[in-house]
Amino acid sequence: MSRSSRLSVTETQRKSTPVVKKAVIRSRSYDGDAFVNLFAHRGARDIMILDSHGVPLRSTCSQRRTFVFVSNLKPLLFMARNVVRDLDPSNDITFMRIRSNMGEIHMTLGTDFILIVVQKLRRLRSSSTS
Amino acid sequence: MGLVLIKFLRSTYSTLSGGKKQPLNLSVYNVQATNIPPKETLVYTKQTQTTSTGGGNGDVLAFDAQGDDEESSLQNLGNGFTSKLPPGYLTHGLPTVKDVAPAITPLEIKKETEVKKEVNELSEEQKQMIILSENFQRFVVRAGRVIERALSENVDIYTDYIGGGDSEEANDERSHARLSLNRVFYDERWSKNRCITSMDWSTHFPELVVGSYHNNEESPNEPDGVVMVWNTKFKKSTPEDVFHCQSAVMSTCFAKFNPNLILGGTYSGQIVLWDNRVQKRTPIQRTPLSAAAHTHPVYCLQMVGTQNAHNVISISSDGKLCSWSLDMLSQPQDTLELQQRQSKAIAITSMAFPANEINSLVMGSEDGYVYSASRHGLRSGVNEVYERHLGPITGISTHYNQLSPDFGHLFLTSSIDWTIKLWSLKDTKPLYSFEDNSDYVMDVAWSPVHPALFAAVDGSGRLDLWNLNQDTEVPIASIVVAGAPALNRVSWTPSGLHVCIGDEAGKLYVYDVAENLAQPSRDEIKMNQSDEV
Repeated sequence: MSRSSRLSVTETQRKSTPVVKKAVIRSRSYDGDAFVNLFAHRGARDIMILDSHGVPLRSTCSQRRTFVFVSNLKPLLFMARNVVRDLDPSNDITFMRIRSNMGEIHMTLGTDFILIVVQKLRRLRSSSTS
Repeated sequence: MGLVLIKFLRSTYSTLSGGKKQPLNLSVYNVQATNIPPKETLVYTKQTQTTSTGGGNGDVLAFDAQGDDEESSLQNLGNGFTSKLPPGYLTHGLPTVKDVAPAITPLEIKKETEVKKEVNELSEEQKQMIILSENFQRFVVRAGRVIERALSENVDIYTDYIGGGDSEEANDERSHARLSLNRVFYDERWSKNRCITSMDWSTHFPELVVGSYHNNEESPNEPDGVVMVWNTKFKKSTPEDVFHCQSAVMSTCFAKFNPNLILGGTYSGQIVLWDNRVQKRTPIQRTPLSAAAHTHPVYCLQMVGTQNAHNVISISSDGKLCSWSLDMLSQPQDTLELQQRQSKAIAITSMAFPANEINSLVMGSEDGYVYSASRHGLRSGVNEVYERHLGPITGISTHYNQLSPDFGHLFLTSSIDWTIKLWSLKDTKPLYSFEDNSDYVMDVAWSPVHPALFAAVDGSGRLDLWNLNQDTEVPIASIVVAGAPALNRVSWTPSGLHVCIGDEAGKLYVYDVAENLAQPSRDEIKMNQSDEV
């Protein structure tokens, strides 16, 4: 999966490059591509960025896999936000983490965008445990 | 028809209850025989009357003589109800069938809406517009940092402690070591082949350390000066912030009273200001390149003062001291030419203000002499000249405890002549000379919590910890960094429990100092006092 994710990263970059040239000159301060490369390199399996309505904007995996994740996580995200809002209207959710035996899913919720990172679970070494 | 007959019998019974003579019964029979069709309609009405007939039966029950007959009639009534109940159910069944249709329709509608939601996608152009918006870029940068902190914290809450003896032994081993490597900060793109020129710790966030980097000679197209902020609290291995400048950054410090500003002194003589709230990496302000300010490299940069009255003090290698206000970097508030007796400029390489001091300072120079100076007053300028090192001075450090009459006047210098010297402001000759090193000593730093402890680094990759109470001939702890790179800078964390060193290849090491070593004991404090007295 890491190979396919790297390939998808490359594809994403290649796809986005010509449009960027035509549309807007990319600001140097934007580190999105570096961020995606970094996470793909560090063992994150998949990275997805959605807008506030749950529409996927960028992803490092295939469209089908993105839809599988989004269709399952979107109701959970909205319900979690509603829970936080209902308990205290002035509060808002910022981060969610789903931990399982084989991996974990991190979700950062902003006001406008949602970032989802699917991570393989690495077994800790005894030295790092200490 | 049988049912009808039963009803006729009931009506006869009711008439019986009404009448008391047999001839009356006979007359009733005749009348009913003639009106059979209309009584069918009456049968329906009598269905409703059947309940009242039941009530009538209750009245009849009062008569003991006719009780038996009425009981049999009650049984028939019961049968009639049960026989009619199924038709009632059937009539109710029809509406349920009707209800099924509208129940299915909204389900189908919901399914259709779900399908619509799934199909709802943005076109490629719309996606690109959103991706290139500033809002999106800011979110990615911030969310990426949050995710990195979460991913780097490998705290496994499922750790099995039944076999935890090994980790305990490891902890024991660690406690025995006086200096142990905690972590290394290195960025493949921004740190490579760049010498670390200075370090500073934030006062607002004690876990943040800022390091300035020299230029990378192998990448002439990259910016010459780089400044990175690292986080020692989280395990993430990427910098919190990366800033760069067109000229190599020789010194850097956090703005003491502003958590978002970072200052840098450059090789060209400019002083630059970065703001981590701004999305870009270039400085937001810089001082002019003019004779009124610095035109030589700024190796010394420090903020002094209090919350409401603070200045940036900078000294360049041509011996010019400038005082700046953060609100106006276009021209210095005050300048001072540091000159020797013959009006010769002093090439200052390092400086230090005693803690909470804003007027007097000590400086090290390229010719090996140590100078003390005052910024204001009748004796502004160079006050004292101390006996010289045999080589350029690379680092200077004043004691942290300025309130104590025993320690406030002490300061240390390190030099290329392989020695570290201990001085007192009251005497122009060094109190002691530490000569254990066998290479350039590049920096020296007092511990911020231990009055007798200081750290030094040299060009052969050695980090030494000296404790003046235990030994003045050899350091109490010494370690050679893996790979033996030339070390350039050393600084302590504000807590005094970690030593941070920077080498010439761009790596920033954080070493743990054993607690029994880093913290002064009561005996040491007493011995210190007695020794000084």
